[in-house]
Amino acid sequence: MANTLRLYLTCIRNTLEAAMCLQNFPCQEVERHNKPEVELKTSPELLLNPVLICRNEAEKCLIETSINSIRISMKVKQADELENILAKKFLRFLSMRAEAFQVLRRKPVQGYDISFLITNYHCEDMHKHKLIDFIVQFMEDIDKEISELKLSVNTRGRLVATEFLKQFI
Amino acid sequence: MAFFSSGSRALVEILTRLQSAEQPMPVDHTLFEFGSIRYHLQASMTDSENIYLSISTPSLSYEASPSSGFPEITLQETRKMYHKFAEIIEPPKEGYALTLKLNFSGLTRPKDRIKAINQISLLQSVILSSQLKDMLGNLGSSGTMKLVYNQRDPFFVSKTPVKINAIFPMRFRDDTDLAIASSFFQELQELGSTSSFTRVPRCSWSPIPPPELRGEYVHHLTTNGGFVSFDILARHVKGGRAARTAWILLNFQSYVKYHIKVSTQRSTLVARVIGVFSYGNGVVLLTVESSCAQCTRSYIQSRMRKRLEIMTEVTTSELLYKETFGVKRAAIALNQACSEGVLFAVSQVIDDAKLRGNDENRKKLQVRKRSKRRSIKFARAKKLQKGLKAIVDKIKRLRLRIRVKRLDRFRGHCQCFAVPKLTMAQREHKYQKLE
Repeated sequence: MANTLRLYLTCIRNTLEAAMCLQNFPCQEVERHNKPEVELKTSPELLLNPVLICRNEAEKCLIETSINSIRISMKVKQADELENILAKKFLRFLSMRAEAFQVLRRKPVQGYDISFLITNYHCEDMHKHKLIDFIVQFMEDIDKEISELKLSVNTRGRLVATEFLKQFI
Repeated sequence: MAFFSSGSRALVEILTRLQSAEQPMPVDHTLFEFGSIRYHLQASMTDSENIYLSISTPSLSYEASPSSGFPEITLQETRKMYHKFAEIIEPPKEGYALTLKLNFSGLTRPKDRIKAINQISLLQSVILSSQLKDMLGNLGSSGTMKLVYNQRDPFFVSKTPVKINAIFPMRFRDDTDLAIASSFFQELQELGSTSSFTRVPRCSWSPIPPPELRGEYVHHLTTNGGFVSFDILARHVKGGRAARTAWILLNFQSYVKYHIKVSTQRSTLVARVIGVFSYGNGVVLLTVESSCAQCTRSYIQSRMRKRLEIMTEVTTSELLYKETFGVKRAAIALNQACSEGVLFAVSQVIDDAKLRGNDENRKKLQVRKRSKRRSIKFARAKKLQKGLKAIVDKIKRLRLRIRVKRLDRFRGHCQCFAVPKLTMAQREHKYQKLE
């Protein structure tokens, strides 16, 4: 793993570890309701300051915390048009299957490519450290997968081009 | 690959069958290839040695009308190529541009006959290349013309004294196609300039129209994929190479589209349907070549699917969940079941108890998930049975008296805890109604 990427991921991990101290908190607006405050944002006293971690202009991670939920939004590296298309396709593909990930949000926050929403219920049911591991691993995998996809599309293009040019010989 | 084999497989098959038949048989077939090329084959019992083959192809240019037939150069080329076993019939059959009378009786060896049949199957490419040659001849020493081989994708041919440029304006429907095609064009350009491909026509790709297309209509030059051009020199069209080069270039756009995805256009026909026969009213597909090559779009999709499976393994893994999770969920659902008394909730209890309960049950569930829930009905019955058992157990547990250790000792010694023992007579005492 590149050094900068390791630092970036470590920073995200540490921030998540600090931020993920969630507790059950009923909604203050609606009786007998329990809603993620980070989504509603109705009571400012229940929200913490959001943390923005940037690796560069194209890659960043926004961690928004509240008393009973945490929202993690990411922007994935897209160096060129092909990477942009591949990232968009892949992340849309994952978002459409969000139920398989349990903590994945169906729609990303504006300005980001993918978002997670972790509530206190998730923290009660799952191991916190494993949940953080999963988020960090997910980020690593996304980067890796997009790079691999790009590489294989180019390789396929080269093979097809070779096949085409061979016909003239 | 289907794009590069210019021969018609359907023609080869029919002619071979006719030649290998022990008894002469009548044939009257109409074949369609690539959606626009039409063949007609006719042989009769009385004149079994002669087979009449007619062909009709769309014109390469809007200027030349298809009804006027082929130019003289095309007829000359055809005569030159097939003089050993075929002759051109004048006038051609109605509705067709050219009719050939084939007679293979002069070829005694079976090997020669096979060779002749293969040559006949190349008729279309011979016609196309000679048409192209004629058009370029009419163009003079230099000039540009627009060709329409594929209705949706016209292209340009520009002629200079030194070389001929084939310029393809590339248009794509969506951004994904465009990104994949751009990567392909880059590779094509890079590869064409390497030492291993010095003999092939030089390829260049630019987002702006090349100077040869100056003066063309703007809507012809509006593209999203740029312009791919091939520089064809004299050595690329020397002798028999002309037909091959023309065929490869004519199918370039289809080839690119096929690489991106199997579209519903011409490329699908090229890749899959080799020939269509019409027997009277019925139309029968002769051969369907199954394309094993996966297009790039579907490749990306399958790769993403695989990656999704790997990524979701973590979230479905039992290690992610705390041990108490299963029990807690089961208890909540049980309370729900008790309060509502709905059967559905009972099954939910069982589901959850099994899902998040002990390890064995969870493993079982995972195995079941993997086998794609083969017997849903069976599992439901089992679920209900187990659920009922779980409820009964729970009720039993609730009804059990809480036993506090050492409380019996107090019972024995302390008077205030003394429980009065009732005799049978006292128990059976009946109250009397007061008057």
